Amino acid sequence: MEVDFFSPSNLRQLSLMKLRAQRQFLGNRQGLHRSLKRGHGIEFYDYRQYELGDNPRQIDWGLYGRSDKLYIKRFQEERDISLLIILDASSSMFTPAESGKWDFASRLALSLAYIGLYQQDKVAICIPGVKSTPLMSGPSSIHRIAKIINEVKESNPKNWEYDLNRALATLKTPGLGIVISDCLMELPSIDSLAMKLLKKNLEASFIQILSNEDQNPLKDYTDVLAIDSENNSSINLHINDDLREKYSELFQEHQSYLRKILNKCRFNLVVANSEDNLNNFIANDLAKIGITQ
Amino acid sequence: MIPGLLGSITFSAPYFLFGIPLIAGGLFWIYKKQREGVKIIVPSTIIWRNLASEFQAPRKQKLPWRYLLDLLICTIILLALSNPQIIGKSEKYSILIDNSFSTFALDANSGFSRMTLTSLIEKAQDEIERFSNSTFKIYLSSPKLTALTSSFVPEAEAQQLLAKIKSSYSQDQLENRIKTIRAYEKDIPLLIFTDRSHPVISSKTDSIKVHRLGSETGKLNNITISGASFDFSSGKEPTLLVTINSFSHNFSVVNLQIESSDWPVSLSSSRRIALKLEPFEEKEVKVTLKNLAKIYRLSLDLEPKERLANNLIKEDDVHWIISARPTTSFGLVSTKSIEEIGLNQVPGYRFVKTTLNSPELKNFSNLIVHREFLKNLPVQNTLVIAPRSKKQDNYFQFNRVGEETSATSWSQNDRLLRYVQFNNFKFPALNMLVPPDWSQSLVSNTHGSLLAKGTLGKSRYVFSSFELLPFEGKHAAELSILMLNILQWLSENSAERSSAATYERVYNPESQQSIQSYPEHIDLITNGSYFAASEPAILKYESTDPKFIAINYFNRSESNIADDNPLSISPEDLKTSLETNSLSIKNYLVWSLVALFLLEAIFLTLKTLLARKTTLKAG
Repeated sequence: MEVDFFSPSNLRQLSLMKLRAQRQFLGNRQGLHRSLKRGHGIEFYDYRQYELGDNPRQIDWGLYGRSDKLYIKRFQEERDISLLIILDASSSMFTPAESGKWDFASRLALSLAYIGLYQQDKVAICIPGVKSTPLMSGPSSIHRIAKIINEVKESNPKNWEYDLNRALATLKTPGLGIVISDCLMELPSIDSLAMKLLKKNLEASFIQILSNEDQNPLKDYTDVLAIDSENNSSINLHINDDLREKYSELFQEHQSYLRKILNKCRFNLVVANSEDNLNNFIANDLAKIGITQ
Repeated sequence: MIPGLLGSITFSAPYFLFGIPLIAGGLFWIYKKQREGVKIIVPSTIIWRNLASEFQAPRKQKLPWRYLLDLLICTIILLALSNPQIIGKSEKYSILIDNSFSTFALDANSGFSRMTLTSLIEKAQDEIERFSNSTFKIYLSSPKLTALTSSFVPEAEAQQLLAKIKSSYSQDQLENRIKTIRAYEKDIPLLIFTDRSHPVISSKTDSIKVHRLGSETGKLNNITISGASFDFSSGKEPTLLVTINSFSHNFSVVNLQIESSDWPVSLSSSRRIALKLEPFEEKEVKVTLKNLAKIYRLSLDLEPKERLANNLIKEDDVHWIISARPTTSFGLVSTKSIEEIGLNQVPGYRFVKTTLNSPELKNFSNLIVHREFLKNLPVQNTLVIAPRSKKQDNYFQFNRVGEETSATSWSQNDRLLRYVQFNNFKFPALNMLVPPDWSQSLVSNTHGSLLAKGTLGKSRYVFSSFELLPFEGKHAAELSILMLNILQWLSENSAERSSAATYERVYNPESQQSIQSYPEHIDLITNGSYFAASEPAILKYESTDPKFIAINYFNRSESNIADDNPLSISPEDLKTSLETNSLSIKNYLVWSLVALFLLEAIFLTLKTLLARKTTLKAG
């Protein structure tokens, strides 16, 4: 993965993409995002009457000629933003191994991190139960992030909250939050996560990575003892068409509740299939909802 | 026998039944595994759990039809292999009571307080109480197989009939009785109550069940008078020969009591002889009689303790004997006189010369046709001695064989040849015998039969191709013994032939029961009538020539209760009914299996069809 990811063509392709925030944030440093700060910038924002102390260079002399009043031009400053990527490394992301959910998710996280770093944003990655990093900047930080991701096996559910809180604490200013997960967990815990992100005033997006197996499970089996990959609880299942149909209904219901929770917080939800083409997904699907451009 | 209600089920090969729990367990494990299914680790079971709450609850109540069906099939296969027999609650039972002479013996198990028969009957009564809703037919083994009722009767009546049964003075012949009953009532369970042991005490699977009353407390012993006779040969004082048999494991001391009487009977004790008997000894006692009385009663007298120890049957301790010389008469058809052929020397028989055409011939019960041409057999018991040379009739043909010849084979066990050895005996010139189909050849040589005997109708016949006369007594011992055997065999049939005649009971000191009240039994096999005495006694036979008959009973196998006389039931008698049972049950099982297999096939086909239909719909 690393070789593919760091191939020049891939990096070039990623470098052409940009992360986009719907909201404007203050930012700390010069960056590429329009910020709430007014001052120097490229994009004109509005006029304001000249006051003592303002830089005379900002006076719009043309307007003075027309209105006989001194106005200064104000511009939106382009600042960086903080990007927190929360990558779910729970067992469900690794199950079944051939589903490629983790590969897709980890590469997506890496890609988004690279895009962020490349556009001079500060990026922190949190893999709850594994590790959370401080905010990093500069494209070279991608190697560090890649190393962390590559070392991930499975998360320890005990440390989930700790890592998450620690990661959120590193964010001094609001910014972007991207949660990459299969969201196959109890809805209250998703709600809890969403609320935490909301409290931190993050503009969050949830990217739900699902495999075909998640949507149409156990299609080759009749009688199955299904063991939960996360808590080892088991359940006897006699799979028939009725059951499949019912599963499908309940899955849609789960998705619907998930959307409701996220909508409540005005968070986006994008569903990805682990078998999709990643770059297309970033370029098209994420662009559609305005995460990238 | 397929009873309406299931009684107890027994199995010929019960070890197969152990397989049922194993198979049940195994199948359960397999189905559980199947139901559990393959262990699959899924990302999350959140949605499944929601599903399960809806889908699993009704499934728990669902009967595992396939499991039950397979379990049923396996169980039936194992049941069939274990060869089940349903016995017990049959609606009908035949009960055979062994009331033979040996059942007079005091029952050791009851502390010698009652007769074996009483204990047997009590056991039978207890047994039929268990089948109170059934009906019973009670058979007595002795003196002849007798059904006490013509049909099956309810328990209460059967109990009453059982209570009336008495021991008889005859042999049990249980093997024959069982065969006869089985021939008549093949599918009805037979319960046998006997004092004889059974090598394989019947299992529950047998349609014949033997309830044995054995001696659990110790050995059974008995002492008996096995026979008595007079010896008039000395010409002076007659001698009374008494044979006493000990069937006891112990040394014993008995007193032989000899009582005598003339007519009318008034017994007076004349002698008392003390005897010491070794275990299983047969002792002959010779008593010289100075004054010969008409009737003698011989009895064994034992001390009470001695009796309980060594003599459990007192009924065979009495023997009656008439001192009068026998008066059995034979008609002689011969060209020679009685003296010429020495018949006047034959002890115990009276011979009267006659001819085949004589009107007096019908007065004789027994006949000797000596070297006369015989066209038709007479109706009497007859000894036919080959006609003279060159004469030929239906029974002998002229085929003179040498001057002397030896026998090549003879039936040693036959009664006529008892004590007769033909090893070195040379038969004189003779004509060959052409024995009738109904006769049995007893002695033969390489040319054919020499001596044959047979019974036609109610008469007995003996054919001899060689000369038996003149009777020379001890000078020609072999032929004399053979002649006496023949005369005895022929003449003993005369009393039996006269069974329809009236017997007047002359003397019976212990009972007032009359012989006439004893029911005449019909033999199930031969359908012939016979005479049976109720107990040893002297009977007066009223006929043209009134005579006295001493009725005694002795049978070695019945009196010898010391030795085990195991009952052997032929496997056919057991097998017939057994196979009938098992076959029918197996048939049911096989049909059930076929039905279950069909059901399972239908079940699977329907399941497959439904599954395909659903798939098509989904498609």
